[in-house]
Amino acid sequence: MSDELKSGEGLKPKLALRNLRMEYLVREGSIKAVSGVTLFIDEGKITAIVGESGSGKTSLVETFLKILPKNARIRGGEALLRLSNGGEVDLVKADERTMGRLRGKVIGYIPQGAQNSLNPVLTVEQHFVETLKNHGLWDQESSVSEIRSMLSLVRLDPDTVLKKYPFELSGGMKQRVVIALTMVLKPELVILDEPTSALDVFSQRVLLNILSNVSMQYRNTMVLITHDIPVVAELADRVAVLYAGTVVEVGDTYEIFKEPLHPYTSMLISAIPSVADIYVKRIPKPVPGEPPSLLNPPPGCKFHPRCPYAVEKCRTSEPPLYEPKKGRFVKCWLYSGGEKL
Amino acid sequence: MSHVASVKNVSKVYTRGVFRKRLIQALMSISLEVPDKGLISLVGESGSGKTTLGKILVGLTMPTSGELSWKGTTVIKDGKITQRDIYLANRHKFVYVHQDPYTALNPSKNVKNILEPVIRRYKKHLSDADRFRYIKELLEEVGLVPAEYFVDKYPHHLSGGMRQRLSLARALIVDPHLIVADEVVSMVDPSIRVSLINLLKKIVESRGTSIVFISHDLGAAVYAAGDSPMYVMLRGLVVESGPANEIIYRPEHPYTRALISNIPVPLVLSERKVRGLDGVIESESARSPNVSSLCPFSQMCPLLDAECSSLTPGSYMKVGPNHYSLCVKAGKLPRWRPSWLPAASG
Repeated sequence: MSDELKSGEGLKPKLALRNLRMEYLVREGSIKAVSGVTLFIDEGKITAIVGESGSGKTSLVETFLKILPKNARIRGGEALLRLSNGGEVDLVKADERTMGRLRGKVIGYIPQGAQNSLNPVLTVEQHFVETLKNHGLWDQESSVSEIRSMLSLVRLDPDTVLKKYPFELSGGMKQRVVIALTMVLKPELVILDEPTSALDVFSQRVLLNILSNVSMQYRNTMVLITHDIPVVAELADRVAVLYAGTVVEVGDTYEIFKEPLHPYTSMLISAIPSVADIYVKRIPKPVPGEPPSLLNPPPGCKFHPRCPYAVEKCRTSEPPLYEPKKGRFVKCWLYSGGEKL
Repeated sequence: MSHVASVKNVSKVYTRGVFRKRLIQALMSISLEVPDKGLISLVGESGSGKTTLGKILVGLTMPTSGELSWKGTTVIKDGKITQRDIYLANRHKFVYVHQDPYTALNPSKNVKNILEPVIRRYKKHLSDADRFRYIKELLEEVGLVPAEYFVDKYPHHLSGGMRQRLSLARALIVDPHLIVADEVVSMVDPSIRVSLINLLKKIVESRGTSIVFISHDLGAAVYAAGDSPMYVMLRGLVVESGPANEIIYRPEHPYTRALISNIPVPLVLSERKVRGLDGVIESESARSPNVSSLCPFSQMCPLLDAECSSLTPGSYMKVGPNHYSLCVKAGKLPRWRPSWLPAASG
């Protein structure tokens, strides 16, 4: 584990997305759900992808996992996944057999509402056994203890939970069973889509704790997809802000919340009402306008119709991703003095 | 202050199962008043009974026991309509706006045809030209501008926020006394939630319509209510009520305190670190086993002791002007600060 730690630090990213594009074909034309996403997911860190509904968060993940619906077309770009054995795979070019080998064992994906996908006629124990056997990892001696330690890690009592059926568990407990099921395969990259959205405040707090512990213990790379900005602020190491199918800002969480660079990021953060407002005398300010339609996205920078700093250039040409500071990327003409990526 | 609607000791029991033997107590002896020309917030987790209470306030759900009064007249008492004529004459003035703007609107009708039948029914005096002008005014009032652009749009052309605005426009046609806005911001993008709440506040101010804002998001509920009353609900009971800002700043119920402490906050108040569950007992073994209490938080409360068994559903402790708590220890609770607040400030 310590070797992995060393090689992960400051070296190549676990997953590098470059200019990834995907469209959905519909009767009215094409929905540009992912339009030129460049994003590096650092190894051993929790990266959060945040955006409003329709910003393409889930579409982005489905694109590089290649689990898209029939009307979707990948229009270019690459998604380089670095494996722990040193090899590299471009997920965009990989065929279905390769993807089948990677999914589950190398990339774990927990879609939104996964807690409802447990089989109602199988016990939790049978779920684990089936999952391990299907991936050829079942081992008579060690597997049982592994399952039990995994359940303890997600703060479930193995003695009671293993014999239970899904309907006997609460939503938060099912969610944790699904996380344990994913983690028992020891994936190098785990992707969680809206893990906290259906939970009450206390279960959400427990889950945040568990995810933080899991990432500390296994040092695997985590990608968290969410629209819940406060959750991101607590859990993630790095944040990527998605708007209308493109990444508008990437950086370390603390930096982004302390000093957001892109106008959208700063407006989004100040738009969220919070219980902390009264303690810090803050009044949330709404972002004017509405998110754009991805069927006919605006020309130039996609945020310009809502942006108070928009100039003529923003209306005509799309800004590139600038790197004003090391590890900080922003897609805005305001930073055109910085280094271009 | 007069009340547009009020409930007194209302309870609601749902029956389930083939023989209607399974009982679910959704609300337990709740009393609250919706002030005239005012906004109140109901906040609680799913299953706390906030939607049931909202539906009872507008007369959509019949309470099992207790009274519902509209403008001072008791219209429903103990599961029966007592003043049928007043109830029927005023029913349409108490409207309910649903959570999901994607299913609340007919997908085969455009904006004009969604609003027009309601206007024909409730604004009979308007001529064709006036009716069109009225639609325009309504759309402008709820922020769907330019109105000419929106009149012939279908719901699928509109975003979640726009649909919610349209639902509100439709509710405003009857010039309602009371709008119960049930989770109207939960399916709307975070960047426009605040503007939707601002719209609700504007409606209260300019029209004098009262609004009950129901939400599971404490931040949104507090922003909506401000210094107006907020009711914190848990398992069919109101556990704390009072001015929203005051509740957040000086909570006097262990449940409210735990809620505030455990909600993730988006501000960089201190170096980021995932905190543990605060103010809540999780494990079965750590609970006091010998105390049985009616308190809905007793299962998780770290302060549970013998004193708690004296609690009754109506025994509220007054802890400030208009600030009440259902905890028997209210007023004597230990000093508290949110765990996310750094020691230096506040």
